[in-house]
Amino acid sequence: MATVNRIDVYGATLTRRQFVKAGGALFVGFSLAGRNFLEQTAQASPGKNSLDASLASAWFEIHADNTILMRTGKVDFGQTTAHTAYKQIVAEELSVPYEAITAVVMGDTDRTPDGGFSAGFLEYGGLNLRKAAAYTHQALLDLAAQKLGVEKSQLTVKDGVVSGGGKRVSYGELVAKQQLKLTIPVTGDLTSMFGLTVTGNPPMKPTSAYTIIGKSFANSVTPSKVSAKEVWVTDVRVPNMLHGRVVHPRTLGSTLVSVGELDKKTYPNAQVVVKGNLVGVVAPTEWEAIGASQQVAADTKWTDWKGLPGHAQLHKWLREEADWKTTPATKSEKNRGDVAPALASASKSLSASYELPYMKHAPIGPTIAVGDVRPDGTVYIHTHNQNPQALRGQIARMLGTSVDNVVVRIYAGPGHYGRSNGGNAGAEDEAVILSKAVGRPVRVQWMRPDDLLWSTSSPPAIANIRIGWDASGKITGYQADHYMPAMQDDRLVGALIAGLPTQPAPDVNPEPGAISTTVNTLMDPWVYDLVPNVAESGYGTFQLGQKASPLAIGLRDHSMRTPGQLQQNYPRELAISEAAAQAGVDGIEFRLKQTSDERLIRVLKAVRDASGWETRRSPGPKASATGATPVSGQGVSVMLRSGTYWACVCQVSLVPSTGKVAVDKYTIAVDPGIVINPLQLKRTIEGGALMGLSHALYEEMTFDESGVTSRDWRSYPVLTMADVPEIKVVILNHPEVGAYGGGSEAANALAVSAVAAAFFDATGKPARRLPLKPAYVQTVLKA
Amino acid sequence: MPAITMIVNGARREVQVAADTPLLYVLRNNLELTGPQFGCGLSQCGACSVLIDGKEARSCTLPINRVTGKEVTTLEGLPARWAAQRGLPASEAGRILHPVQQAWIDEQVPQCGFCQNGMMIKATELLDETPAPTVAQIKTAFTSGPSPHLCRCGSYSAIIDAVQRASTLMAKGR
Repeated sequence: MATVNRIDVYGATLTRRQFVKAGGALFVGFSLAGRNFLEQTAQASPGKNSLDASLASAWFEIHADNTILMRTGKVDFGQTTAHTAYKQIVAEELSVPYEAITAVVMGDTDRTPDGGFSAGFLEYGGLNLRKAAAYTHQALLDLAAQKLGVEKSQLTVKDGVVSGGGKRVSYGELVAKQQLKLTIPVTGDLTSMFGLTVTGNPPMKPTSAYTIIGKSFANSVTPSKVSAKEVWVTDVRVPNMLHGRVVHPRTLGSTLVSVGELDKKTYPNAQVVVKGNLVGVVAPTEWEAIGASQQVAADTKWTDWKGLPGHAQLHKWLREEADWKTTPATKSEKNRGDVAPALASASKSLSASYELPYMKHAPIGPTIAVGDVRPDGTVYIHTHNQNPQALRGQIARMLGTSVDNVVVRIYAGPGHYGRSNGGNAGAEDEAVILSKAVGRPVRVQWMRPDDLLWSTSSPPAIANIRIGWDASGKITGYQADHYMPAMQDDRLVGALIAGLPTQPAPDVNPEPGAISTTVNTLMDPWVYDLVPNVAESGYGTFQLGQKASPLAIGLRDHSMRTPGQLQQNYPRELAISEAAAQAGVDGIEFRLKQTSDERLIRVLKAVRDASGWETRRSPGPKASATGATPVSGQGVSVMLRSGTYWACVCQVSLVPSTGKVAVDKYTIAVDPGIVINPLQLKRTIEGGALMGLSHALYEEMTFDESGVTSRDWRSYPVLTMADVPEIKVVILNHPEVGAYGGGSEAANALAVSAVAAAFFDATGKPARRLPLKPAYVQTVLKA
Repeated sequence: MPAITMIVNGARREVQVAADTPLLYVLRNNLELTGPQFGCGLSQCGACSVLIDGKEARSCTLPINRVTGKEVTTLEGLPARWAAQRGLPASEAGRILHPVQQAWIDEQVPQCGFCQNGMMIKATELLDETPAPTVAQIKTAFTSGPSPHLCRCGSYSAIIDAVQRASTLMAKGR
């Protein structure tokens, strides 16, 4: 027998059943009807294999022993923020100790509530959990008020214990022996790119009262990773499982002519699977699957295809051949004034064009998934993916089944840097196709060349920049025309090869719930507010070779750390450094002249002071483009990303005769507003900084007329420890901003323009494309 | 298919696999030692590293028949290795971490962590030979051998910090 009562919580109803004779304590959910409850429940109603995100219990379980289990559909296996910052955000909002959160469930589509991509992890993704925690906190206060007989306004909470009127009760005691149901308002489409969003405005803890956010709590997932106890995606083994490898087509447009015959004598247990143009090989052991797939590949015949310009012709092709007309141009919302007359009447001006290559996400381990298509039609996919609910939708679409029948389980894995935030990294659909064909679970791991040749890439770009300034060094006009192919191809590549349904290729208008567009959005917020005339435009086009490829594949692109913003910030900041040099003004002074934004000024001054920056004009007095004597230089860059201000200084050196550029020191200052976890932030910034130096010095995906030719770490070199400079990270904590910014990946993008500006400072020669490899550098120095 | 015998993390292990099977697949799939990871299969990244007779080796390209009779240490075996070096009873190994592992936690080295198996193996080899390495010696160690040890997340500076911390921990523990 149970007694039932109702409590009014923020205009809603909390249902409480108190069990007279209860065994275990339960917190199976609160039922609080939020203000949007009625209009939102229809969309949020859960199907099979889903949690009901409108129940607080889908987000948290608060146990009678005061421990808490937390669930999030956002996936971060790259920086593991869910195991640090997310826990801190939740613990803070609930007013419980950080250590009270003893379990984090991340990403599994049948065990987590909200879905959505893992971009904007703190500023958007974290808000769902934070609001769910805030609703829960309010409901707990109401329960405590009733239990203690004290007005809610008189209650305080510390470490999960509510006090008031000389009495106290813990959260565990409040929820023990009761069934509570709290419904929170959510909206959205679970398996879209965006997932579900918690709505409404529950009262949240004032930032001035924070005690958990701001401390460097240890990352709780690290110990298992360093002691080999973590269950990585590579470790998943399910009963009756076969190992699979895929024989990918010979080019990005080849169709199958004939399948090579399997040598059954050497590979007696292997089996070949063909679906459309997809050739797979499965075997009971991994080594047999690898050997058999290589043997079959050698004898498999494909049509020839040549539909790409080749990387040496890339930017010429983009300038002269690409269709920039079909897709509408975009304009920055910060555009103002009239740029043409301002540039015409400027006392001096710069007009320059900048180029970025294709770059690979290049996870350190290739994409991997176990697909398990069961006889009852249920499909399990074990993988690591930055948008598992979207993958669930994509797999359902490929198979023509309901999303209710698809379950995605997520494990730790190699970082993807955005490659799978649209729901797939490559192996997932192929594992499902092979599993369905053979009627057993199949584990597909791509080999290193597969992962470089058949994955998406960060798109190339061209930017034409014009800057005019007056005699005092104030910019009077800034014009930027940014050109970039579509950068979010979320199609399943195995489905494309097999001829199975998947979403459309990026086009002007994406499907509802998708972001696969050719429109080139302006992603780099303008920060120089004192410039009176600004005209930034974005021009987009289709992916190279995609329409001409019989497989509809070609060079597929995908968002990668600071997507779009890297392609726009690099030319902006490098051009501004060049303009400063031509104006005879120090690069930091020049930037300070163009802004009244206090936060930008703060990071610029911080990076100047921390880096040993020499305030002077550029190039430096000892600059030289020739000779065997080392020369050195300094460069600066800034960025506003996700509400966070960044400034970076790179000091480089090189011997002009060799063209080998070395970065000696990298200093970065960041003001994210509220700092959640200083050590975690420092480490992610350092990582981004080094990845950015890798972009600056090494990274360029090469390709010929048929496909990608960067196939391993020798043909796609990245930064090594030998190149690591002295790194200084300056973190500015400004809680009064009232928000936690995000985007520690900004450190990636800042390096490229700062290194190029430092190269100019050292040599007096502008290098306007990436990467700064010796051969290109020598061309620049001789120009 | 003849049986191949080796010592893995201090214990004699016998496997029956094709003689050209790389050690990595034997460790992961036959012996369920999942510390070493598949990164490239080409000895170009170091994610698969193990110690063979105390020297760092790339298990992704090393045929199992060349490991016969040798002593293989994986990430799982580092605590026991440290216990033995300190003269602690073997039963202690289950309760401790190798100082390199502890330093990796203290310095919060991993981003995704996928490459860190090889990084910790390399650090262990380095600290055995050079108990107090300079930054230059650390950089040389991690960029020599079959290839540089690659970290795509850029944790190199954290690794340098952690190797130096591990050096301090080991000096105290010896």
